[in-house]
Amino acid sequence: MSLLRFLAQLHGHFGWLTAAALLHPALLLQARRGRGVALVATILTVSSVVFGSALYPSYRGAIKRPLFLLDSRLGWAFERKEHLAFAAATCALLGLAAVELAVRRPDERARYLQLARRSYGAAFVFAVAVGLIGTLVASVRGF
Amino acid sequence: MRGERLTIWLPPLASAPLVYAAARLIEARLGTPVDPATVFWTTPIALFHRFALVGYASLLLALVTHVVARSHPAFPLRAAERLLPLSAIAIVLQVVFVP
Repeated sequence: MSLLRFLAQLHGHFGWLTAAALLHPALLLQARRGRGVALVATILTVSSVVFGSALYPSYRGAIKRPLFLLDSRLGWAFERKEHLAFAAATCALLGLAAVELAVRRPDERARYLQLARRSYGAAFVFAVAVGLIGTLVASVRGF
Repeated sequence: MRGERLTIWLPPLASAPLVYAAARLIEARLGTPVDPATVFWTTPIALFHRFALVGYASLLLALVTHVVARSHPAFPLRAAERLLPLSAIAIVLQVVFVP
């Protein structure tokens, strides 16, 4: 088994773990207790995006062309993945900022928490879409 | 100090997917579509430039937010609340129509 194949598999599992971690703050967020969970979910999301970005040059060199020649719809689906991953990361960062502000500003806590829940909800939806596309492509063509 | 510095980053973060979608649209308009023979993009704006554009736009928006928030303290939160759904819709539309 090649190192790239191992890393790609790890990235996939990491991505699904990220999606699961994002669901918690989206549904059950509360200011003080949710701070740690929100931080972990955000770190996981940003790490997954950085991990995927690091793997992208290898994907472009080894898989992109065969994948497009095999089925262009799958190739385009994978290209869509990077945009959605960026959106997931920024939404998670927004959620984390809102949670921090909910703690610091008790007078507007409810509004900040609502913004955080919405941000993490959007990040979760994007992360699930990214995970589905990645799994679909990996099941057809991998390293 | 109750998070004033942090609040100015709410609108830039909420609008980042929207700006990213706009940057991708500009890239698609200026560049050539994917060539199935080589499958390498030859666009004037590469991924790095897309991120750079988002970064510059975020800094600019943070500055604007900082200025506006001095007279309207509720502005950052309200702007982020409005921008988040717009951003989500924009990135979905971009992903569907300009992948």
